[in-house]
Amino acid sequence: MTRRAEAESLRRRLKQLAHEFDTGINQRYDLQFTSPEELRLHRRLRTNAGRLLRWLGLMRPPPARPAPPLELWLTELSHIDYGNAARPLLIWAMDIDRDELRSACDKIRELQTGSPGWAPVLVTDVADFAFFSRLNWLVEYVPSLSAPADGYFARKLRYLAWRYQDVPALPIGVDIKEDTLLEDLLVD
Amino acid sequence: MTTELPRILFFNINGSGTGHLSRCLAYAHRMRGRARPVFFSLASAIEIIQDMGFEADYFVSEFWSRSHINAWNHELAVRFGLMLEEVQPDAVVFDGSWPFHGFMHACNQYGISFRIWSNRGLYKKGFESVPVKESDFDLVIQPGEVGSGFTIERAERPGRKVTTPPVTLLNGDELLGRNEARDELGLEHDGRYALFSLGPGNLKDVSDVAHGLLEEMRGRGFTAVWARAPISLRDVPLPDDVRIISVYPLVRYLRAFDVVASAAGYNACCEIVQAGVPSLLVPNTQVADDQILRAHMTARYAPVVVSPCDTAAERREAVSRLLEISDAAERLPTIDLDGADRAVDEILAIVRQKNAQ
Repeated sequence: MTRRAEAESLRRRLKQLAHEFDTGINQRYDLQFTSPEELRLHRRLRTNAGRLLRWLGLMRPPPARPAPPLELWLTELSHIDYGNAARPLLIWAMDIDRDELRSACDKIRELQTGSPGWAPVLVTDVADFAFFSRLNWLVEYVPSLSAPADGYFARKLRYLAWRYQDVPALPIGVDIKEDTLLEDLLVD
Repeated sequence: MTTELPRILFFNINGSGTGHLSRCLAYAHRMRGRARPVFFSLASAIEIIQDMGFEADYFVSEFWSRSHINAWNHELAVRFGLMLEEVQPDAVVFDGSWPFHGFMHACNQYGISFRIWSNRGLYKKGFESVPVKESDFDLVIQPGEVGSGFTIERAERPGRKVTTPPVTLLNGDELLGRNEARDELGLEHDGRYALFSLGPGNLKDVSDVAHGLLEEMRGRGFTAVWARAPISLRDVPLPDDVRIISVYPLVRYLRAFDVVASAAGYNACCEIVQAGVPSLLVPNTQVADDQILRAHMTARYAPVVVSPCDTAAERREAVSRLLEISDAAERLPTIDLDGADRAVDEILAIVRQKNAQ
């Protein structure tokens, strides 16, 4: 498969997986944060009094307020200097042999020196963390679990495709020549 | 007819080494045949969990992620929620000092039957208080320090609290003897070996202490063996004649060595007592637990010298003292090290109670 065909195939696959992701889990486990202001005693008393009055029908419900913007989920690691601004980069490495994965990761590491500023996230089903720990990349592991959790693998894969749907992606198996720029290999 | 084993989901945080993970592995190891452990690990050493025969997933720790703590907790809640929905555990065991907002939220939203908090004590003075109540857990286990016995601190549930004897990854009879361990590591039976296990160096640069101690030990005729941590960001540069080993669990091989130089983390101290090998403990003062106090407590039950080893004079004196005490192990009292068994009995009692209901 040519580099272009491989990139397009990955693009279609990720789009399909993200489309299949059941976003209901995001609602079920949506974590809201309370600001220090909301925790103050007089604020809590006012809130509870309002609830009571609304329950008694003596007060109308307040207009719905949009939730405050949540900070972004970053692929950057705290001990790495990415320069001015880091750009996330998805490296999709599913269903690959451990040695092939190591070799491909080494090549991408070399490309990173010519294309700095990327904060890669490696999505893989290979548990090789002793090696990964030297890459300085965020790792998203996709394990196979036995029943009743045998659906975990597919659900997590769909979640990751959804989570990183706006991130340029790189298929791990792509043929990398020495003079290649990392930017030339990415799937937008 | 076969009865399905209860599923226990372990959530271990990522500390300076693999201590929290090792403690969960100690519990899981004692559960074999009685429960099915699964791991959600913030420590990335997934291979060692799998090598011990357990299934695991990994999520980057708040320490390594540059995401804002709110974004990290938000992400954690969804990831852990997914794991809960799929594994459908009978109980969740959290091992760490600070139960995360995202962890608690996911447990609440899923409606987990039982949650257990394994919380090693001995924090340094001034350690920030945790905004989570022990009564939010059905059971709180405090893995005891060397010399601790089993104590019920509070009997009522929720919030039942017990202190156990020290928790060790392996039982005493799983440790190899001197020559057997040397055979497995490829060491000579008649050699003089000093093991260095000073931590991964991810939080504290151990290079200076390590090089000074290596020089001191080699000057006394020891062959230096360096234990590389399962996960480390970088290697400490070492002289060519230092032998490097990378094994887990290290305690299985400890008796191969004549002397050990080690950090004073919880597991290391318990394992040094278990193996009875003369040891030099170098406390790490950059972590939340009081390693200086722990090292001195350990010295009551094992042939141990405690020193910061910051200067050449301190290192010289520490190694001299270590060689003087190296035959003292037999004179020391034997103590209970069955904390993992006691903790597992407590955990499974809760699950059994639920099933009986």
